[in-house]
Amino acid sequence: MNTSRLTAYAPVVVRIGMSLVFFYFSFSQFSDPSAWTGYVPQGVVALFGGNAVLLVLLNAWFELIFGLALFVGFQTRIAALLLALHLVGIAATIGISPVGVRDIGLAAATFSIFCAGADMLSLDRKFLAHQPAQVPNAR
Amino acid sequence: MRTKITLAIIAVLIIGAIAIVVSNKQASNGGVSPFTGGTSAGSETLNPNAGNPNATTADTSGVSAGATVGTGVSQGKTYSMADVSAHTNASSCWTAINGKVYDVTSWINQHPGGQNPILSLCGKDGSSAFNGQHGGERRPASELATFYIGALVK
Repeated sequence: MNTSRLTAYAPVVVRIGMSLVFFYFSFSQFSDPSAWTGYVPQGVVALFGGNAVLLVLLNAWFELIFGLALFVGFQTRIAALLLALHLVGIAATIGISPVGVRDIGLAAATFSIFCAGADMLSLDRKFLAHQPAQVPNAR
Repeated sequence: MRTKITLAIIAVLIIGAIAIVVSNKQASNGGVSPFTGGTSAGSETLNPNAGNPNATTADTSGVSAGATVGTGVSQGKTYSMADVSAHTNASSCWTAINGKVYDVTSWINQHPGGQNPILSLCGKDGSSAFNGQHGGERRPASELATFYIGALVK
């Protein structure tokens, strides 16, 4: 079984899949910010004058913007690194629990996008020539 | 040959996983077989309005979950928001959701999403937060029902 083509698509699958995760949570936070205020650490809420809803909306914008960047493959490494660190922070807040462990796995997947860089279908690859795509050697 | 062995191993793993899921479901349903149907004796039916944002306090009269599971139906107590607001921390955490009062102290360390979302509800009406996160979901609603201690009165 020739898996060289599958190897080339692997980073594309992870990039698109992870961007959809960030889209979902971004839209959820926009649709009902008050439902998410419980997840904001109290120390962070205090820094922003107790306005947890504002923090949720800021978080939603962050995930939407960088999720979009990830989806189209624009500045892929930067977007992936920021989102991965963001997930690590969330996992650290939640702690060792089913959701926390799952978020650690998602952070690892997002970090792998940072490691892989621009894939063959990303905007970086098509329009920014200085980021070559990670493709296997064709034989 | 290698492919056949791989497929056989995958089939065994899938069948094993299904068996585990089915047996866990049977245990949570009080031994009712999912293949023959029939009523469930689990916590979901003890409070049929759990998780229903339109339920009123009158709908839960005579129904109490938690400590009374397995001992029959008993009249629930009633509490005001002043009573709820007296339980505001991890050592005693009450919240009011959709017209009912719940003691979620033991759930703080069990919540899959961490402690903070539960601690933020202590002593308050958590209807908006709960419905926003878990509205329409069966499992959170049935889980919540096990912490029911009484109806909320104004």
